[in-house]
Amino acid sequence: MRILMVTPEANPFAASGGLAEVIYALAGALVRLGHQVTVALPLYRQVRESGRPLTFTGHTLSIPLSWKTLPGEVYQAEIEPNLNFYFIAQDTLFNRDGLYGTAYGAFEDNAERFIFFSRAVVEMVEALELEFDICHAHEWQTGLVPVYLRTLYHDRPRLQRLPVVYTVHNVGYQGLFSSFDLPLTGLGWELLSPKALEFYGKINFMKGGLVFADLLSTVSSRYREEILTPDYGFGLEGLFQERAQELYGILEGVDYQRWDPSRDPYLAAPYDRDQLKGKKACKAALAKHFGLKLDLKRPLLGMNTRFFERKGIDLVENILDDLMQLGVGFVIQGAGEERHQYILQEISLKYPEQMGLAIGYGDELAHQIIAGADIFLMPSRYEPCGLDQLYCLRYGTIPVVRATGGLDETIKEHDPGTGVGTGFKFTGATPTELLGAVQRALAVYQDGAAWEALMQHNMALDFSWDTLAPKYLELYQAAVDKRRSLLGG
Amino acid sequence: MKKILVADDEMSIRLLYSEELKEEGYEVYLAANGREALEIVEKIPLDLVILDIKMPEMDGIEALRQIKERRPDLPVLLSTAYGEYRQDFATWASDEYLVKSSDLEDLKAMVKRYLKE
Amino acid sequence: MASDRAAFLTQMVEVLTSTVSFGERLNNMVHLLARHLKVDLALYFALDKTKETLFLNISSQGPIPPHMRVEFPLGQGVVGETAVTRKVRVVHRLQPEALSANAPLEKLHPNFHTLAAFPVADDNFLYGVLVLLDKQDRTFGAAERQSMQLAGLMLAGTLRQAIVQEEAKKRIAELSVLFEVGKALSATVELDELLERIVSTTAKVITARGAALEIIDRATGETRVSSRYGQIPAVCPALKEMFPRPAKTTGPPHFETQSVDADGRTHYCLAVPLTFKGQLQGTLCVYDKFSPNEVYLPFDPENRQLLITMAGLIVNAIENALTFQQVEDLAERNERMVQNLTVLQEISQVLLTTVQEERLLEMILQGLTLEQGLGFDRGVVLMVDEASQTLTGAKGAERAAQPSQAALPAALLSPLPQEVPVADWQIPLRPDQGALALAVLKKRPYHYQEHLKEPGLPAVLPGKLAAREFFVVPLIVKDRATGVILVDNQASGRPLESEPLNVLNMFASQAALVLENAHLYSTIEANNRELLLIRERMLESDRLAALSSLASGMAHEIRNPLVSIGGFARRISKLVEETSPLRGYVEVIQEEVTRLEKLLREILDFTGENLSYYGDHDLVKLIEDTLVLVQRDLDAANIKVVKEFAPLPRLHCDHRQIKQVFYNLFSNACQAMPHGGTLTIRTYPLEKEDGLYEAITVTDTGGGIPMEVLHNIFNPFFSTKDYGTGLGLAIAQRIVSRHYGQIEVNNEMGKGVTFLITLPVAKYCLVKDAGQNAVPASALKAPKGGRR
Repeated sequence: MRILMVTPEANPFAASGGLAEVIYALAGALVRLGHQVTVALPLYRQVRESGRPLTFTGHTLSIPLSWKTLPGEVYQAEIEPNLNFYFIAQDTLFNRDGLYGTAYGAFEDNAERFIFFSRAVVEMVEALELEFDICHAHEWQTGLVPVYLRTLYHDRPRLQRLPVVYTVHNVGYQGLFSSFDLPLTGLGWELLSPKALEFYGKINFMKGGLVFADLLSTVSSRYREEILTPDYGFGLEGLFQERAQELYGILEGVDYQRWDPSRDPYLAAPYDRDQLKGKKACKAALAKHFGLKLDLKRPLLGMNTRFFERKGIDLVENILDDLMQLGVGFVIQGAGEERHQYILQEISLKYPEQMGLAIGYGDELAHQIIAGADIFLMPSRYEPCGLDQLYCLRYGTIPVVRATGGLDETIKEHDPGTGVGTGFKFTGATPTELLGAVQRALAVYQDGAAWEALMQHNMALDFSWDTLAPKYLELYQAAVDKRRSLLGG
Repeated sequence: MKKILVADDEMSIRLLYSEELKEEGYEVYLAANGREALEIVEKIPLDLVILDIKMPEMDGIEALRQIKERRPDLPVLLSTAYGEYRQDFATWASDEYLVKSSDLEDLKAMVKRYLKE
Repeated sequence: MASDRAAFLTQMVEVLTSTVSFGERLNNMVHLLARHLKVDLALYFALDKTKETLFLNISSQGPIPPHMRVEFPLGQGVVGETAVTRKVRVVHRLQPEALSANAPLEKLHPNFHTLAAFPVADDNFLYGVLVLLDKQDRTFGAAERQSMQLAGLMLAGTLRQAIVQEEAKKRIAELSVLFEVGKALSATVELDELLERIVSTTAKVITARGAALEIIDRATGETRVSSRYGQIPAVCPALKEMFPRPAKTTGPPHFETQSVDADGRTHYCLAVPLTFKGQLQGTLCVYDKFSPNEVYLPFDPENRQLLITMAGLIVNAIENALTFQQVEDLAERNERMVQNLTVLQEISQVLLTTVQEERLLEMILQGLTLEQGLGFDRGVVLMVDEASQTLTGAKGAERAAQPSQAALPAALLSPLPQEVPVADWQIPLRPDQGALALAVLKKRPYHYQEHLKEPGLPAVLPGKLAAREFFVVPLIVKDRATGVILVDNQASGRPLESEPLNVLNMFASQAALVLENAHLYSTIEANNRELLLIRERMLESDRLAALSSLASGMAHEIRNPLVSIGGFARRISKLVEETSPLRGYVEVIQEEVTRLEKLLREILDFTGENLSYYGDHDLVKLIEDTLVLVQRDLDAANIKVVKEFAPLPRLHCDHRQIKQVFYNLFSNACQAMPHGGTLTIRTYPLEKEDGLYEAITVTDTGGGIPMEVLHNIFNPFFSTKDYGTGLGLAIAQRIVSRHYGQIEVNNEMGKGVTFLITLPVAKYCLVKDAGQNAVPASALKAPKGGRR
């Protein structure tokens, strides 16, 4: 199959969260199965700074945005046979520090940026006469791709027959914008209706994707069920229910090429389930990295997160004092809302020997935290899939997670009596329940042998992409069949 | 000996003409209609043709046309009971147009003139 | 501390100038201020659109859950007061009324002791109030107050920017809506389609559940056009409500109402007037704004403004479309006219197929009553009888009960389905005899209607023509009324319209013409028949014609055997000795054959079969040619020929016939002068009264024609031994008269005969030869240098 992935981020060029990793790993797995994958990305400053060579294709698209028209230059990079990247370059929109915003929040012109990108991708397929069997769009930023394919560009045969799958990685981010931004899309006002893009008087990009894509998916079966309810549907539950027959739940997988402690280049020492000594070295290195004065026998808790309440950062903030009292170490890396940064900064200043805080996000440090920590916290209010808990399993780091979405689906509560289960879960999004789960983990940690058994059990589990990519192929085939039948065979 | 064809549907006229012309020392061939006349024109290297107009099967006008088509050099004299067509044929189609007469002197004089060579 | 403040200000500026959304900027600013001033809680209260209430918008504690939403009316509490005074206020818990007036804040921060409020305003507008709460009793120093003030300004700046940007986006959005509407409007000029587009686009851009448009004619109060889209509630506020009493409210006129239906659901309606320049007025109305949760929303002032703007846009398009519709109506009428003309043309084509009056009348009546034709219920043709000065029924017919399916031309030819007997319709042509007589007398059509008494029906027709309404049109040819056509729709009771009257008029003029033609034709036919009889009688008397054809047929048959007989006789005589008695017999045969042959030649070769060879010929040359033919005879008889030829124009003639004339004359002369003499031939132009002639005289010296013979010489059956068959002169005379010439004889007994032939010169021959000076100019009647 020839697959076009339209995504706001993807490794190895531009990443702000887990999506970049997911896209890259899924693409890699599909290529290994013998398919051709093309990834379309905005040409962010990060892409330029990735150091990888880009080739200008010679094509410059003209994308109308309301009463102006911006050029979109198309660049290309082939990073391995059958894995191609196309970039839409428009420096006034994309040559910025962040992908979606700064430390102070989201860019005010995100609507314009991703309207431009979505439309440019559609135009690119037409202009470069690219042949694809399926288009796979991700997240709210590309929600307009299905809309364009099925409305404004419907009369172009090449685009008309292109099936499109839309994957929701997180319903919490829908891309809501003022209805006054509609003129930027070039779409007719009739689309500003509750049956299409309108959402409580605003434009909802994700809704566009959900309404117009041939088939829909999200990133775990558990999350798929959750978003059918008002608690997780963020107002779109009705639409999800309406299309429940065409909504798939497919877990994300782990790229064990990159996430395997036995060959992870970022680690102080490699290790595997038979030889766990290396993990101690990693722990020591991590403590040293953050300048902690920690007895290595004491448990070290870790987090790679973003500072948002949906990640449960406020829960963590609330139990940090208690944790510190328990004499554990805690390292956290992440970026996000500034007030959380300040709170965390203040707390870390209180406990400089026990707590390490890294503002920002580094891949290397992320590996080191997952490898070096004993316990990994994921107290998310909701988590569509979550990957860190899966990395943790392979790295022998025990996850403490809230029972939601992919976390609930992939982590089984550990029963110290039977030794069954892979981590510790809590249900209510309260500091108390989080603390309780952490304490259960710490209790098991006291029993060195049991803890080691748990680690070894977890390290043998397989959540690789190679087991998941075929499920996506099935989804693609279903979309192809549906499109073909819609167009009359 | 010069060869002359006489085409006339009346046997008596054929006989009269052939007798007279033989006497003048010509070799005479006879035909009863235009078609027979054409057959002879095809076979015999004639020197002159005398044609009646009104004949069965193929009339003299048609025979005249066809003879001139095949042998434009061959003199053709029309000898007919119809005087009134003189103007039609004298000028363009036949070499001479004679109204039949029991006095054959004119005819013989004409023949002699054409066969002088 | 100073570095703290510098860091704070730096961050504030960073936030202020960041590229993130305004909401996030405000959030960040509020957080920064709370952190910088080390207060427990910072809150931003925003002034709402009505400018009457301040509602909690931002909290430094993060998102505000619904139960924490707090608002103050303007002037109430510290928040409301600050909004009014625009002055910073700091209140402490223990101050009187501090708690009671600001009780709602307890919800957000129980046990606050310090409450500081400062306005967020610029030089012009107040946007809201920033509130700081702390559990401590606190005072704020000058530096801190300055920070607060600065923060207030920055917040105000950010808000102003946000408003400006929002306004700009809104304008663009509205423009794009109007652009879309304009595009829809200009995409069509078909009124129905246009209205449909207007209401559907209106509903969509305002996200209304339904929309309606109605235009009424102010003069008549009737609805001119209306169009609806979507769902319009059953209880629909009357559209016309706006107009009897135009909105008294200030600002652009509009009408807004809400109603509750049986299910207890509230419906909203917003209407704006459509104001036309002309006689029309109308409304554009939207119903029930959509919301995702099934509850309909009222329309806001922005919707109203947009609707008013759209109404302005729409009016022009509708006026254009109405104009277009009028033009289309006109075109449709034209098309009907063309159809009518086509019908008329088809009828007239069929009418041309006959000249029989009776058939024509049938066709005309078919044309009047056929559905494919003019489609009247009944038609009658009455003709004027000039002699009795009455209008008399010629033929009448009623429409067939079963309409004919045939095409018009075929249907016209079919027999009349139902005749109306009209033979006894007799109307004297007097002005007091009603519409039919008047139509003839005044030569104009009448549309009779019973209730319009004048001009009424004549007394003779009641009982025969029981029509309450009919058309009567005169049949006029060359300004003369020859009859009338009468039609009505009495059977079906349909009214007669003016348009078919026009068509009927055109039809009548055609009918009049063909009827007149038929009449003329029948006259000509009668004349022709008479002429034919005369000509037959004349031919009968022409014995020559009879002879000529008889002789020609027989003579040809005789000639062949004669040639054989004579030819063989000559052969025999050559063989028989001169002394033999047989010789004498053979010679008799020869001579007799020769005589017969000569006779034949005269009959056949010159009477001819009317093959004509007319052309322009030089007469002198014809004479010369003929002389050659008789040269042998002239020589034999020793006759001298004298020629006196004057130059003549070419003669338009059958040269063969003219040569026969000369041949006959010359032969006669030869016979008249068997022992020699002189033949004198002269030619000269001769002017007669009626034009130029060529004259030829042929004179012999044969002693003249005996008097008793002279009067018979042109009789074809008269013959003398001396003058051959005699046929020659008869033929000559016929030929000359065929050339419109004359032949005269001048007999001088004892001397000879002179024949004078005069032949007229065709005018064009003169013209043709004039350039060659063949004729003396005086001989030409045409003026010199005249028209060529």
